[in-house]
Amino acid sequence: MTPSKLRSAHERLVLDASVLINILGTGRSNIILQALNRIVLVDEIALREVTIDPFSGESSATVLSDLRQSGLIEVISMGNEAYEMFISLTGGDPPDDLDDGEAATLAQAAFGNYVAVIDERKAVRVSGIQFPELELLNSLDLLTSQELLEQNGRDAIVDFVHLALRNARMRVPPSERPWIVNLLGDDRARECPSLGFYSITAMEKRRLG
Amino acid sequence: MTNLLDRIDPIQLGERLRSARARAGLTQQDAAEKLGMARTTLITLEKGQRRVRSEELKDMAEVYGCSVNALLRPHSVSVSLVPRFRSIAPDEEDAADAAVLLNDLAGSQVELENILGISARPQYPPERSIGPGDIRDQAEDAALETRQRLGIGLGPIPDIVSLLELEFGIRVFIRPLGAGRISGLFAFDDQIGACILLNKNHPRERRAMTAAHELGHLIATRNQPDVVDFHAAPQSREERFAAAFSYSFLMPAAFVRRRFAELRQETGAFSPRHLILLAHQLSVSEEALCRRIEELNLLPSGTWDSLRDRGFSGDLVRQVLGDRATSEESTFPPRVWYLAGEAYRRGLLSEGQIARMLKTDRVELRAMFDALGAEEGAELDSL
Repeated sequence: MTPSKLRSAHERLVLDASVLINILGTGRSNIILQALNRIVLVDEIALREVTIDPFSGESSATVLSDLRQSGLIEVISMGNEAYEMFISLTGGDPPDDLDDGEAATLAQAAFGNYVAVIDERKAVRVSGIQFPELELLNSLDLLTSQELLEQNGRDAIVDFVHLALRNARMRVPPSERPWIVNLLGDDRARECPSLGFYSITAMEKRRLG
Repeated sequence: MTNLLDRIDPIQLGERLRSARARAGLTQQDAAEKLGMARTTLITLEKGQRRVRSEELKDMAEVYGCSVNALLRPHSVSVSLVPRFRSIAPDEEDAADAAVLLNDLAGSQVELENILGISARPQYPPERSIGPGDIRDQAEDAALETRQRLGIGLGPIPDIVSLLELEFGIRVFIRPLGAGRISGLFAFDDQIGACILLNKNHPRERRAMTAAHELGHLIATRNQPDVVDFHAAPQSREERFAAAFSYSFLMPAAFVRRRFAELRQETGAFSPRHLILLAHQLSVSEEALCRRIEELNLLPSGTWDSLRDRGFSGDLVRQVLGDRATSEESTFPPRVWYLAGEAYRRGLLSEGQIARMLKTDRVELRAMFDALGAEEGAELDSL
């Protein structure tokens, strides 16, 4: 059904702020993280960047605290070696430098052998340069994973993607937009401005035959 | 891997650390105590006489409330507008916070321009000092001259923010400010130019008055920073000039007189409904317009107070204008968002970097990118 790249071998995930925001945006973070059934890590620096819960529009403090207490996310901090890497990423020559949360996520993944889940376009590019072997996933890989499909069904997956797009304005690379529009259907896709002009033109083209 | 801190210029980094500490409002002694280091060590690091260790950098970023990336980024710009505001609002916490916000946003805009290779070319109206004689007359003259320079005649100004940014090159920012007492701030710096911060929580019409007020300061007293607090009656000649300028600039006397006469001729009297329609046409509040009409001796002094006492309210405005009463249509976001969107679109800065630079929530930033078409695949020529 979906081209999710999440595999059973991906046992430990480290989420960037850009991804955690999207999961919170669904308002179903408990269900999603439980269904993933993996160790989900967030660096403390990336966590501090998630200040607002996009689902409620309120402070994210309570929802994040609940996720931590229920063990659905584990907050980690960098050791010395990872921190050296973090500094080299935050202090890279522009435009190859990264903000603290993105750099912390990649440094943790590189040193902890975790799979980084990150949507940020520039961070993905920099990761390709600095850590060509590092496996990266994005929000869509989690929200449309086989695990979520099996446990919650197709309708729930459509809801998760729709809510993340609508409430958190999840970023979607242009190459992924066609199947996302197909997944959501025209009416729901139209409610998601972060799908960009593509969704509009695709719909218009279909209507025009 | 070679430690980046061994390669970076220690003097440059020391200067950025000093600037970050000052921005956080910490003395060397306070900062050294919070960092658990001797004051002499901090001075050595700020002077670049010893290289900063990674754990020291981590602690400093935390204590100073800034990102490590901002400390290491070579384009980051240090602006020092904050101290100028201390002399005019020394005990006002909201004003101090707003001054820091204006300072940081101005620095970020300059950095965005540097990153994009765009140089600002402001064309400010000429400075004119306030002379002896009637302040209102001088403000009226200055407002008419400014309109003439802009080539906009006597007509309404529907979007003053765009006008200030595009025609004069003034840096304008719109953000929520404190509990609502402060309407805006103005500062001028030889290097970064004129900067205005407007309170997003205030209605659009009030923001327009604040923007015009600050334009008055740019014209008459640009080297004095200003905090607009409409609860306080203007005392100094400079403040009275700026207040009178804002009225004259947004509501030119000749235009108001003509429209007042036309509207009164239609029904034989000037009604609250006319006031609402004319205020909407001029993009000003009913109160501001009514006070202007009183000032021009077209209605008796005290008309607005009497109207308000008799229950003139937003309900009546909504009845007359319908959806248009709360419309933000025909306004464009300040230029800094376009610069940010372009830097993001080109992959020069990440979402996290821009959110931190512009002190905004990530989802709000994404909404702005969506509105500006800053995402990949949103270019018109890719359709």
